Amino acid sequence: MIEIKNVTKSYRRRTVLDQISLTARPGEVTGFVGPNGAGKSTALRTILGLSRPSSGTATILGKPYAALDHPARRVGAMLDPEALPGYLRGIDLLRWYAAAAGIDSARIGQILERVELADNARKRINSYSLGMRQRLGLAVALLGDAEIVILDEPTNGLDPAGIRWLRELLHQLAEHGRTVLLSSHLLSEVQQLADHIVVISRGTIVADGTLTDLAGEDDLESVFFDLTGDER
Amino acid sequence: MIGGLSRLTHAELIKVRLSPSLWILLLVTMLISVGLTGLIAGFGGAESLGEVQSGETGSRYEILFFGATLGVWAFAFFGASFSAGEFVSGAIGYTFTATPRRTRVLVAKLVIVLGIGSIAGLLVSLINFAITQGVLSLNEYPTLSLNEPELLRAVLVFIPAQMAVWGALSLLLGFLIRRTAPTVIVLLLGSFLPVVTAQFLPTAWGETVPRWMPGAAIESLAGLSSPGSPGFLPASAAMVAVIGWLLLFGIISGLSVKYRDV
Repeated sequence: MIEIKNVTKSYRRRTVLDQISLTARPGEVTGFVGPNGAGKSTALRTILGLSRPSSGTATILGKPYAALDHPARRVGAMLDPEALPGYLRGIDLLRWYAAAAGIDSARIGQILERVELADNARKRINSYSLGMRQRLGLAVALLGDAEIVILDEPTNGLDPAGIRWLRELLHQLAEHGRTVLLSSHLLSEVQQLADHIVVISRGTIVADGTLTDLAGEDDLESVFFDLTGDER
Repeated sequence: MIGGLSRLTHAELIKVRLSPSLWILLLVTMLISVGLTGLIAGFGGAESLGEVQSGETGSRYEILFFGATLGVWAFAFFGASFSAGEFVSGAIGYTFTATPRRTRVLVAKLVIVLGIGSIAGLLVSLINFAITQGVLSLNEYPTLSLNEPELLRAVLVFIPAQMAVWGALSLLLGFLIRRTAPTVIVLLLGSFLPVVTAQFLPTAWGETVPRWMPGAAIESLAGLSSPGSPGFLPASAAMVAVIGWLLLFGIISGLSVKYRDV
């Protein structure tokens, strides 16, 4: 389980997260959705210990990420694909991550097949398209067969077939009792992927529930714009 | 803990092994260090080498270290790039997600830089020795011998320690500043200013501070400073100085790595 409790994150005079709380439970896919700049990535980074909350706590399985035993084996994380080191080949990135995280490298071939990158594994990451980088990021997240999976904007760069593949993958993970938390600014995709939706706007949680809870009979897109005030 | 550090060092070595930019920096380090010596030997010829090595104008061993001193600063870019470079590219997020106990990453990188710096420095020392003494020997000038304990100490310690220590300080400062070139510039200024400004400051400063700077302390460790000179420290004190600088930079960068947002 992932728990964020009353987390505030401020940078000098700017508050990026304002007393947010959310829970992502095992066996379900939690979609964390909001407009660009709402604070989604910042929230995920506080969970992974990359950003320290100004107040509040962000825990995984009851502990801060860094306090877990073998954290990168228990939590699979997908971060910004643009930050993947371009000079490495795809397979080298996974070898490095496996070595750094203490994960058995024997899974690398299987994971590359699963994310459909096996044919491009020996090419440098700087030759990859965005979709390929996304798949490689997913491979990193899946490498440790972790019980917790955190994905930041996983659908960017994926075509419709890729999104359907991702949906099936995430639901398989949830069916096997994993906790899945993904963020996105694309409501239509989160609708297809998530069982439980948390909406964030301007650093504040504005809604938290199932699709039916949030939208009922109404169009979810309209509900989203009402909640976030984002009608650009 | 040791097993984890060993695994992490192996992981960081994967990055070093496969990074074209780090290899280029290492190559530049070697080319500058050895190439300058080769140029001096080639264009200056045996006569000028023999004159310097006679010791009339300075240390007899000076010719061994001409180019290497510049090469040390090229290696400082290697150290800075190995830490700061990851912040610039954003890859540090993956590094600290794989290993959230961040100081372990710092230690693993430090081990690598100290190791590579020592080995590169030793190679540079030995190659420069071979070049200079080879030119002198071919022209029937007196040559130095590694059987001389003082020379052996200088060859084994001076440039290897300079590269290892400045590379390490640059790596550690890179975790703090998070930009490669500014890291090296700050380190360069920090190393030169206390020495260059000594002539303008009270005598006590000039007689005390410069000798405790990392470069001067390593000269003393290598036996290249003369007792009574402004840069001289006894070997034990010089060792304390070098370790002290590494600890100081290590603690500050460790705190920065541990508590600052990525």
